Amino acid sequence: MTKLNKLAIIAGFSVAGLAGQVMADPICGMNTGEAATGTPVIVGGIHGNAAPGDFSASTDAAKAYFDCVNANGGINGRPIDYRIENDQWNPEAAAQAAAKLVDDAGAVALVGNGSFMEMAVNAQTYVDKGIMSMASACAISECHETPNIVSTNQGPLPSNLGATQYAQEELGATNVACIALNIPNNGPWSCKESIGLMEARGGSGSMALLNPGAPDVNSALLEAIASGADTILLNLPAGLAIAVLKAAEEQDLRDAYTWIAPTPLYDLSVPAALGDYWDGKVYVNAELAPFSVNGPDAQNFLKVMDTHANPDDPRDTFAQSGYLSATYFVKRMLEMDPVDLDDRAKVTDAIRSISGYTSDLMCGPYYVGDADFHMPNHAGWMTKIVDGGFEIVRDCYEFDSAYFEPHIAIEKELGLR
Amino acid sequence: MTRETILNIALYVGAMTLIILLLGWGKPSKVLGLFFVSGLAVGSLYALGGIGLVVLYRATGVLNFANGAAGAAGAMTAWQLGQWAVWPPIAWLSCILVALFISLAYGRFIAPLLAWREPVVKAVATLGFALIILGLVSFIWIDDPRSLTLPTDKIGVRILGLRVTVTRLIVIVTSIALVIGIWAYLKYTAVGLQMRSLANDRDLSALIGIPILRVETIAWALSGVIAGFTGLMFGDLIRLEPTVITFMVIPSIAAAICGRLEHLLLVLIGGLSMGVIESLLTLSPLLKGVRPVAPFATAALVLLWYQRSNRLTFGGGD
Amino acid sequence: MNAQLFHVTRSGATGLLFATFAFFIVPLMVGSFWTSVFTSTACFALAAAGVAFMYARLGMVSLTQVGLMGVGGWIMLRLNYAYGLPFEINLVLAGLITMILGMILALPALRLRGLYLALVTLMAAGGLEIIFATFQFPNGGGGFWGVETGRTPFMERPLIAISDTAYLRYTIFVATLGFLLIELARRLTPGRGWAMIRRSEAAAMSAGINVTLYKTIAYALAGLIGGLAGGLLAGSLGLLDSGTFKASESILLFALAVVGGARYWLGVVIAAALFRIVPALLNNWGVDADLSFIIFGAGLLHAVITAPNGIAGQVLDGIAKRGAQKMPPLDPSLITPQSSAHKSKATLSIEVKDITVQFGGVRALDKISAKMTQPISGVIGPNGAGKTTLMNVFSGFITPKSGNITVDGFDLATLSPHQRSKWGLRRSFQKEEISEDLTVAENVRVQIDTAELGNAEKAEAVDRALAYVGMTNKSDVSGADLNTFERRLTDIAKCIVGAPKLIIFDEPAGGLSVQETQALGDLILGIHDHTGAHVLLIDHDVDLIARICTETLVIDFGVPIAFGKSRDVLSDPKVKASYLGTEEETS
Repeated sequence: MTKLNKLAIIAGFSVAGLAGQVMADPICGMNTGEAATGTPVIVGGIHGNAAPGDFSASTDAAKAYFDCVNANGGINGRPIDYRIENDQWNPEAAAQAAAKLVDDAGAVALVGNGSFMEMAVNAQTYVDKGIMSMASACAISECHETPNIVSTNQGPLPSNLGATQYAQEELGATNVACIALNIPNNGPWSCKESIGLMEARGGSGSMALLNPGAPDVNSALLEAIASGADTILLNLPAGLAIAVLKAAEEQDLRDAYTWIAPTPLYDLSVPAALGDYWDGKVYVNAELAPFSVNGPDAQNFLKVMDTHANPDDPRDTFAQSGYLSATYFVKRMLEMDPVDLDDRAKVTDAIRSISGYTSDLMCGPYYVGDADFHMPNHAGWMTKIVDGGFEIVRDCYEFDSAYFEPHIAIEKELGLR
Repeated sequence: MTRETILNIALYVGAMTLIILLLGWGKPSKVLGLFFVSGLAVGSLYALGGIGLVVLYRATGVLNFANGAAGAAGAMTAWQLGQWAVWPPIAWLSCILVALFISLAYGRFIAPLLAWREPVVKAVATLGFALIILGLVSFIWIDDPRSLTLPTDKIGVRILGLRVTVTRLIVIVTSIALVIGIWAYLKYTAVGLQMRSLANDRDLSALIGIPILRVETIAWALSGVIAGFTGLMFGDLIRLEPTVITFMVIPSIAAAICGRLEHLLLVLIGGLSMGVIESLLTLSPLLKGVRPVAPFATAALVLLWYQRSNRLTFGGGD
Repeated sequence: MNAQLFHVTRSGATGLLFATFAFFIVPLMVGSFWTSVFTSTACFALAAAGVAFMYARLGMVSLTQVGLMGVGGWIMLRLNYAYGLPFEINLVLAGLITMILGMILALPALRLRGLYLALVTLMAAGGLEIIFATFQFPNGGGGFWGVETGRTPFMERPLIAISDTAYLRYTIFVATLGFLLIELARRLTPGRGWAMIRRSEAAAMSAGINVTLYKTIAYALAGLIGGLAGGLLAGSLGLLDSGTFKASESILLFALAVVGGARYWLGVVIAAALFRIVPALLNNWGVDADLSFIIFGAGLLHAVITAPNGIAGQVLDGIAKRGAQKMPPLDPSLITPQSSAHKSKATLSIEVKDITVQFGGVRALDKISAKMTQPISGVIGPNGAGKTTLMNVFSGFITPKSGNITVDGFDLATLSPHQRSKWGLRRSFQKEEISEDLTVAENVRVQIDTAELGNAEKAEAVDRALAYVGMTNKSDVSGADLNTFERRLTDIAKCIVGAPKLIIFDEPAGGLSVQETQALGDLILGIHDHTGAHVLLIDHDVDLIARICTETLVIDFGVPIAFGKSRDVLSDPKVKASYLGTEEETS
């Protein structure tokens, strides 16, 4: 995020915040104002920061929150020793990071993980070692379909679904072409449900897959167009999505199709990168509350970042997600006997019993549950890129798919519905 | 025109026609046309990268893995200056100057230290340099969605149904201009003659009085300028991500191989063909997933075809 | 030779000691994180050994090794899910199938050399990268590719090495076996063949080495090693990701092998350490990934520039120099060719008939004809006359446009170059082609490696040949430590070993002193009596030719000028005019 954009946010929030309020201190954990001095609780976090992308925002934000908690009485007097490892987008390094945190350091839980492939590499390890990972920034199926990983972010499956649903309901979409990466647990996994939604509603869909390193995005775009679609779903990371839109701009296709995208394009640098051509034409799903909602949690998030994070640390959706995971973790841990905090099995059980935690940053309640799959966040907002920023076009709405039936069943069991 | 050349041309035309027919069978010609032109557009980028590599290789015997990295550094500089609202032509010029500076720094100070090593080792050293530049660029410009636009992006023409922007046309025109220009330069100028001598035998050239360092510096400078222009084009037409631009050097090598690291015209044709094949493979349900293999498979086949009648050499270096 | 085979050098002993230390002590010292890192390092050390020996022993660059590891890993995983075979069987199968794939990939590349070879392997690596990225690695799903989203992978480890620590030991053990396998091949026929190929493919062929076969063996071995390494990595991680097997990783592994020192086991270990331990260390210290890149690249560049023999080379050369003892050079006056019990056999009849060779527009040889019946024949002529070209026709490197060469009626053209050696053709080149990687005895041994004799008989033949030229005392000296005369003597020994029929000497006296040339002439004179072979001698030294050769052929501009008894030919006015020079007429 550029300095300009960061200043814009801070300025915007300052103005909003000043409306009848004083810039108060952040609210963290027990809020005692005194540093915690007990035996540290060891918690781990893994992020991926190397070419091609930087997913470290979530662990940075989690760290900021944990520092805040430590300055406010910790968890019943015990500070959190938060250890962050970088998997550098390298599967071996991801396995080694897990080995270090889980085996060598003896972490009782992992919080704030943000990575493209760490979850796939380590899912089985987490099961074998009986540790829970409360992740924050994931993009692959293992993040939502394995027993020991639960995330505050949605991941591509629901987010794409939400975008498709909105397009079908509000924008007249009948045939969606899903342009995605050809990585099986990312692209095809998430496109499938969106296409399923279209088919369930009398429409149709297809996939046009891209190799992540390929210089040529044109052919995928042409493939999408050739399929006879009227809506193009850009199920890609921001850089690639921008490249596809640029190629579309070259062909002057803006008005010939409806353009929708999941959450990765909800980034404040994106409108500037896209330019005026796309103004008002690209609809982006947001998995967490857009910045303009600015509820109490969102504001607290900024305060925590301002007081405990580096000025360079991003304040984007991944960061919000990391903050959320951290708050939920601390909330649950506060309910435990401080002695039990060293017992990984007890911590795991406690995390699994999390249910009904709410926040203005998320549409629905957060829960974990004792299942082999976890996707608590499956409702969101829809925005439109307008005037160099984002405008909310639909508030919190549930994403509709048979995929969520097991999740809804669990939610009913937990009394969340 | 030797029999060999005629055979090669016939084989090439035959193979390309066969591929186009096979992949396009049963598809409407409009669609075929779209993918064909799209392939030419991508192929021109491979060709441009390959030309830059071959120009340097012909004059110095160095296959420069850092070409892409230099271009990436230039492209990011141009973007940054654009963010600071610097007049665009200055930003573009800076792109070229940054790449020039990086190439010259290596060529003038590091390359001579390795002059007596074998070509593979020289190439490996440039890889080390590429990592340094890439690391530096990634460090300075943290990961963030960015895009580079040029005024020529707004204007375009329709070819076979696909709109081709002037920027893409500039790439192809420049590639052709480079092919002709470098050919003329090497053939008709004194420095060009010296370069050819140098590439043939560096030690011998030194003995007969060719100013080695001066000629090599010119070669590296030329290569740097081309790398800067290439980086700018990659940044605009592919994506503005340093890693992606840097590693475009590998498909560029594939294009360079098609020209046997020597004939720029063949590099151009090879690059264009690769792009077309890769793009057309999208039409094949079976192969569309692996279509990025096209440049590598093409280059490998071309190389093997060229070397099929390889004979032993004698007299000194066998 | 058997004692030689299991002889442990100082370097080898250190290596085995290191392996033992790594096996027993290291796993006890480290926690989970470093166990994982060291296991990975051991796998890549094995793979790097495959790249290193190809480069150091054969001068061939392979930029595909990490890709081949990926293939091995893929096969390992696929077998793991498909059948209930034990780990070891899967590993061996992974190695063998990768070996076959390596050979298939190698076949078209056999004609390529140097940079072109490197580039074609790079293209293969690029192709493999795309295939892995598209089809991913098996995780228990169905179908050929065995991939299914949402499946939890489960990789069976060997029964004796289930824990991470035990698996680290297992990997170190297999890696050590791999290193030993390569060393074994190096000490046997393949290694000698490789050393000659590295020196000169032409010389190798002349020595009877089927260059294609030995190169294929090298690729096969590298493929086997790579496949095993990949299989071990799969066993370590339990699943593999395409990101590990990119083309850039293969290039990096090669680069590090060069930087570490491809000739030495220590160099390979250093390469693996740089590849896996240093990044882990930097990551551990929290160094930003981009800065790690810079440090890595700078280190790579620096090492390539300052250490041509690699880091291990710098270290070991320093140690070796201090301990080196050089033997005194051979005294030419001490050489007395022993005559053997060989009765003068009937000489061969060599008929050169109308040999014409054309290179583009240049006629290098124009209807050369000569029927040589004397035990020692000579060929002389000015530079560029075509003498070496004619010898290349003899060797089979050049196919004449017309004409043929028959020996006692047998047309040499029916044999390929390396087959001619087995038939009995021997050749020494203008630049004596002695491999510096081999000892004197090994250099001579190469020539009869393909003969149908037992080991003991071959060793005996080598000893006899060395005794003839007087190099017995130096039979274990490395080729790198010989002077020109000693190299030439080794060359001659190589030519007379076994049962030669026709020996060609191409300017053997080049670079020799008068005394040395005298000794050389004595040796050549005695060859026919010693072995029964016919000698063909090319030289500028007219005195040598006059002294040794019974008959001489004179060539100028590819055209035969004269042929016949040396005395007659050398006083022929035509020969004098073209080659020897006429006396200034004094008026």
